Amino acid sequence: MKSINKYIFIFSLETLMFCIGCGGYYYAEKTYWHVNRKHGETIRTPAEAAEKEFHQTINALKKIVSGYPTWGRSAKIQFHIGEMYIARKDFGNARKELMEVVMNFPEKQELCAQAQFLIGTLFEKQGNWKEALHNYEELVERYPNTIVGLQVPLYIAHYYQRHNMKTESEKAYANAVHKYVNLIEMNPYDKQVPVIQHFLVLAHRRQGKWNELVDILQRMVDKYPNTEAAPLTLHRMAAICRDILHNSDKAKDLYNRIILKYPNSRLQKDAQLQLANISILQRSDVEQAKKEFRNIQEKYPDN
Amino acid sequence: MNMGRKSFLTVFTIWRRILTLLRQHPVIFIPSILLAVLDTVMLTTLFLSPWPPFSAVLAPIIRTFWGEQFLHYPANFLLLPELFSLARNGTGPIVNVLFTGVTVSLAHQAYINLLPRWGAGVKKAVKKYVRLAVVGSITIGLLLLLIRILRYPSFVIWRSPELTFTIEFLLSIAIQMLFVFAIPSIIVENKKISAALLRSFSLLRKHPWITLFFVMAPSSLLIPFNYIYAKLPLLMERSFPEITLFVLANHILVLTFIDCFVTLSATVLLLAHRDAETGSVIL
Repeated sequence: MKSINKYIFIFSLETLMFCIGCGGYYYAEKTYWHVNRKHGETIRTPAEAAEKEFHQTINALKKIVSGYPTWGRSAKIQFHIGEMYIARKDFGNARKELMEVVMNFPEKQELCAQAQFLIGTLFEKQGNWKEALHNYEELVERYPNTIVGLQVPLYIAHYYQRHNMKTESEKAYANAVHKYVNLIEMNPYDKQVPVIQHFLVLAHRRQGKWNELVDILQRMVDKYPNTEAAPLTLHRMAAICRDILHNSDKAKDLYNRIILKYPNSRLQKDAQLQLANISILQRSDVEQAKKEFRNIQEKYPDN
Repeated sequence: MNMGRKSFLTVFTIWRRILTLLRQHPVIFIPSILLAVLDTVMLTTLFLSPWPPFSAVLAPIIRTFWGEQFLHYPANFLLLPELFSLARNGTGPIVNVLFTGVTVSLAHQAYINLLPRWGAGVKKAVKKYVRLAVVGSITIGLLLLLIRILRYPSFVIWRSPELTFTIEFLLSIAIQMLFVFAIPSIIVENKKISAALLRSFSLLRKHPWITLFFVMAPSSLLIPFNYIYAKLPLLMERSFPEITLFVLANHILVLTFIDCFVTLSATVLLLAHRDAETGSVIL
C-alpha cells in the first residue's frame, strides 16, 4: 500500500511539474507571437493606427503582461505600451504605463531607469522642467549604476547649457563630476569604473576643463594604482596631455608608466606605439622612434 | 517473354501478394503500427522538449547545438523536423530493425501458409538482433556519410536546395536498394552479416528494375515532405507554427506505409526468388 502511495505521489509530482511547465513562459511566447502577428503593424507604428485597433492592441499586450508578469519580456512589453502612447502624444496614459514598469519590474534596473527618464522627458515636453528635474534626480538616486543613471547628471547640465543658464549649468556639471568621483571612490575595483570615467571625461570636455580632469584622474591613479582601470586612466590622461594640452613630455611619462608598471595590460602595445609616434613628432628623433618600433616588433612578432 | 515485361508484371504480382497477405493476416502490419506509435511518442517528446521534465535532458542539447532560440516559440517548430529526423536515424539501427525483423518473420510465416505467430516472429528477430542492428547501422551510417560528403561546403554546385533534395533522395534510394534484401535474408535464410549483404547485392543484380520500382515508388511519397520542410518558415508564417506537427504526423504515417511496403516487397521477392531457385515456382 505504501509503495502504491509512493508511486501516486511521484506521478502527481511529475504531472504538477509538467503542468507548471505548460502554463509557463512558452504560452506567453505563443500569445505574444500571435498578438504580434495580428497587431504587428500597430505595435510598430502606433501613431498611424485607428483608435479601435490601437486599443485592441494595447489590451492584448496588457493581457500578456498581467497574465505572465514574471516572463522576461513582460517588462519590455509594458515599456513599449508606454512608448506607444507617447507616439500618439497621449502623455497622461504614457506616464501611467511607464510608471507601471517602475513599480512592477524593480529588478529590471536598466529598463526602469529608461522608463523614469521617459517620464521626465514627458514633463519636459509639457514645459514642466521642475517636475522633470525632480524625476531625473529621483532616477539618479534610485538607479545610480545604470547607464541612464550615469547619463542623466550630464543631461541635466547640458539642458542648462542649452538654455544659457550658466550658473545652473556649472553647478550641475560640478554635481555630475562629484557624483562620478564618488561612485568611483565607493568601489574603485568595480568593472564599471571605466564607464563612469568615460562620463567624467565627457563632463569636463563639455566645459573644456581639461587640467581639472587630469588632476582628478591623477589623484585616482595615485590612490588606487592596482585597480584594473588604472592603466586605462593613465592612457586617457596621456592622450589628453598629448592631443589637447600639447604636453608631450608628460604624455611620454604617462605612457612609460603604463609600460613599466602594468606589463600585462592590453594597453602596453599601444603605449609603446604612442611613445614612438611622440618621438617622431616631438624631436624628429628618427633613431629613437626606430628603437621604439623595433621594441614593438620584438615584443609582438605576431601582430 | 522479354525481361522488361516480366519485371513489370512481377512488381505488381509482388504487390498483389503483399495485399493478399495483409488482408488474410493483418497481424503482419502490427510491427509497423507499433513503430508508428513509437515515432509518435518520439515526436511528442521532442515537441515537449522546452517543458519539464523533458527539458532537463533535451534543453541543454538543443541549447548547445542549435541555440537558445530553438527552445522558444515559434522557433522550436522550425527545428522539430531536423530533431525528428536525427532521432529516427538514431533509433533506426536500434529499434526499427527489430520491428522490421518481426515484420519479415511474420510475412515469411504467412508466405509458407503458416498462421503468423507474433511470439515466434519476435523470438526470431530478437535472436538475430545483433545482425539486424549491424546491417541497420551500415545502411544508415553509409547514407549519412554520403549526405555529409554531399553537403560539404566546397561543393558549390549543390547550393540549390531543390538539387540537393533530389540528389539526397536518389542517394537514399540507391542505398536502400543495396541493402534492402539483407534483413529478409538474415531472418528467412539465417545468413550471417557478410553473407546477407552479398545476398542483397546478388538479388539486386538479378532484379534491378523490380527493386528500383518497389523501393522508389513508395519512397517518392516523401518528396513533397522535403519541399514542405524547405518552405517551412513561410508555411508557418502564413498559417500557424503548429502546422509543423501536422506535417510531421503525416510524415510518420507515410513512413509507416513505406517501411512496411518496402520491407514486405523485399521479403516476398526474396521468397519468390528462393522458390524459383528450388524450382517450385517460375519467377
